[in-house]
Amino acid sequence: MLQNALTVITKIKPGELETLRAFLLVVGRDIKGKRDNSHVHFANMHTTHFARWVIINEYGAPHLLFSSNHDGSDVEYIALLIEIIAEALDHIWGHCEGYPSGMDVRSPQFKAAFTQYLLKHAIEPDTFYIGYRGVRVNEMQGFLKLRLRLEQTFDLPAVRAAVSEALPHFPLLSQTTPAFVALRQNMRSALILARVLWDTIVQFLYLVFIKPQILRARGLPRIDYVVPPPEAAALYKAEIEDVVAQNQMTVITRIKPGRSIPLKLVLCFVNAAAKHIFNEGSLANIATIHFARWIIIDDGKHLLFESNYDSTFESYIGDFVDKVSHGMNAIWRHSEGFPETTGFILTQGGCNHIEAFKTYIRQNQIEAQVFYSAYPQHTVRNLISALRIGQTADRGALEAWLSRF
Amino acid sequence: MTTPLQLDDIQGFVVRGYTFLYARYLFLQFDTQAHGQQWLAKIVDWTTPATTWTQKPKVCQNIAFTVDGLKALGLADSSLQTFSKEFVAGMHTRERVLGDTEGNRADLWEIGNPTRPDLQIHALLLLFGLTSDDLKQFSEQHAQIRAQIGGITLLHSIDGVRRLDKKEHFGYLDGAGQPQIEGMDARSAAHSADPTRPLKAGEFVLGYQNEYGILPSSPTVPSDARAQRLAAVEKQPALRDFGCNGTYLVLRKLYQDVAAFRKFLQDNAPDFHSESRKAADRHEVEWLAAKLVGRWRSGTPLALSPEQDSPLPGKHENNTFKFGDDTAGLTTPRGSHIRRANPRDTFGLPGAYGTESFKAVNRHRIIRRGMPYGPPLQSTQDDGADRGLVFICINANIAVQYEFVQKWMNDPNFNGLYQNQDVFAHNHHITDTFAVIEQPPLRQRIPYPQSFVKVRGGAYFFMPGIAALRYLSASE
Repeated sequence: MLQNALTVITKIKPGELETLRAFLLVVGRDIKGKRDNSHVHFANMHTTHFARWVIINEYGAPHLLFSSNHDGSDVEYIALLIEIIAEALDHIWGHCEGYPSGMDVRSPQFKAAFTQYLLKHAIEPDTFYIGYRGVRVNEMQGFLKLRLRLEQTFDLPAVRAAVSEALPHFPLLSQTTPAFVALRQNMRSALILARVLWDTIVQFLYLVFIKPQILRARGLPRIDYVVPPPEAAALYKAEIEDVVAQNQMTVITRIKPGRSIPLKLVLCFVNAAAKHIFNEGSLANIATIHFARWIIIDDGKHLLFESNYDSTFESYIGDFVDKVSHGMNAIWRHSEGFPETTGFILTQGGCNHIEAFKTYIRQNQIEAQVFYSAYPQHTVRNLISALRIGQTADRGALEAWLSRF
Repeated sequence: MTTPLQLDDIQGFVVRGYTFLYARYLFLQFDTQAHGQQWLAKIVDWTTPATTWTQKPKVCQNIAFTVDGLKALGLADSSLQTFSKEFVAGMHTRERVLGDTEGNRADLWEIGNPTRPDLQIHALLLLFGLTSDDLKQFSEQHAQIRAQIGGITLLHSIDGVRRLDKKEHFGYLDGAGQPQIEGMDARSAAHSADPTRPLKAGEFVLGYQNEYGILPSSPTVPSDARAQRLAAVEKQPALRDFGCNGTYLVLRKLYQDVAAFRKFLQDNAPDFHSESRKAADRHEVEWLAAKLVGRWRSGTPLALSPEQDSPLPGKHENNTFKFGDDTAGLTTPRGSHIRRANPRDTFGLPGAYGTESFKAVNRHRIIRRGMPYGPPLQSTQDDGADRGLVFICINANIAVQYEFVQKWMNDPNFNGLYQNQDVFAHNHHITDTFAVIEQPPLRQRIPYPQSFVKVRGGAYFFMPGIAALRYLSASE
């Protein structure tokens, strides 16, 4: 896959939480690299769509969550991370257990050790949703620039006059749709559904029977996440939101006893659907999610949800409830404290109790100390429309056509 | 099965557009709980209920309270916490959500300014009169009562004046797109599949089912002796439903810079003339005015009359149209005022247009009950007078309805748009934003020179049912 999701959870050394937090907050304030006091310049990496650092499990043993949506493999990404933010690594993961400290961050030995360290603590998402599949950050930013240039060009009076004058001379071609196209579309739908079901089953079997063995063999430390007390909801600082066009959401909920297996099945289905059906800018008509992931952590005890979404918390939650309340209920009804649902597959209640649902999310939501977006002004729909322009305007063909005209 | 509305307990202002020509909005503060309760006890009987009129009364009166007002009247903190979070926090804390930045900041407000505790609003008294004399008399009666009791401070008073042609200061017909309430409107359950049907009462009144198929969350008080006339709370015998038949009321004083808006129309309308339109300049201004809002200034929607203004169709058609095939906004621009405030069948992705879109949009509607204030602008230059709109809306959930729609207005990226803002947004300064008019052969992009609307104050209120008003006025 071109775009990937890295999720790394590492344990913070006892007593070093506050030093780490202080450093991350400085980075978070200066994420665009406008001041000189930050060593983290994601923009210079050209492969980061979104990234965040979040201190989790403050009520138990604190851990550091790093997650990114990036182009290329995890190994390539980690190599680039070392190259671009080398000076910051000691100040961030240096406060976590198991980090290869005391090494020259530019040495090949460190590179090998650090890569191994991150990969060891990386968790594969159960469900991974991509808003714009197969587009690199730098390509997308190029399309956005092109779009901006076109907008400015179309504002010029001379261009407007020339277009008005020339347009009537173009012929109008009649367009008919051959009958077999409809048949082909029907067959395609059936095929997609079959692939969704097949992928669901394969992934489910892998998660239930194979992955636990792999994890056991690797002998990873458990996170043993402690759900924050209800009063923690009041501590969530909503004023950190709405700075750029997107917000980040990090939510960890406790899975009800015995529910991790049915939840896994649902997540596998959503994952397959995200891949085969909702692969053009919308997750079941929700066109505001750039990237999202669901991961069952802690050996089936907790569910981690992360998303990078457009607009405000209120409109995001509203959108979810308006359009996919069944899907939301299907996933979170397996978590403790979620508003009560009735029914089995097509459920009633649950997130439709929108106030209770919002409170539930806020209670379990965790602040990001650092949130980076490569698209501070653009929504998913802006990106998709720039992408369409970019994909139809091939410069080679245009140059050839213009030069021989 | 729909629960019938308890019209004798709901305040009339909630479900009925009074269409009075004269209104006075009084903002009051109580010195003590006793003063407030005495005052309320004295006037509560005059409160206009929602019961159907056999004859239009000469005057109407309705009452609402801020969270500070309810506290002043003796509601305990434990009860106040059962109100909506936004209401409890107050409008002045919602700057970020409402876009009240720079010149619109709450610390600059005339009304509801948080830095002026001496002007802390407790109650909003709404008075209406058929004639200006009726209103004057009724206001004097109220002034006498306040004088008798003492300890009730009149902080501000704004007069709303509805013009005979029902137009607001920018020249548009006001309130053309009001949602209908189920049980209040003749065309009802029979058309339940019609997406433009009347909305569930629970969107606008607490105690009834809403568009999510549940009861909106409602504030409660302890079930003591004086609360016995309030509705019971299911499974919680220790509580009474204070919110039943009440609702939330949002008030904003919005200044309108009429001269600047007219100049904006004049400066930008001729552009169209040179390109595709051949009509007289006067018409061009009207055409631009229509494109910015999505309705001609007469109220007729572009969707029904795209080329020129035509006599207003029936009130019903005028509000039940759809945007339909106009996905590109060639008739009604995608960023126009009415397509933001009520996207109808065009919310979300073009593939999901239609009933699904209506389902979502119908959960984010408000009833507008505002009125213009200040004199009309007669000259072309600004005369320095204060004029604008007392924006008032009714909703059962401030965050999901009023604040949601306000975000739709301000959001440069609304519904797939980019750098595009509502013409009446009060924060055009935040970034480069444009009015975009989609048209062949090329869309027109007009930069906004400034905002034509400024926020001069406001507050979130709760408008209780009449039984709840009596509860508040009764001493323990």
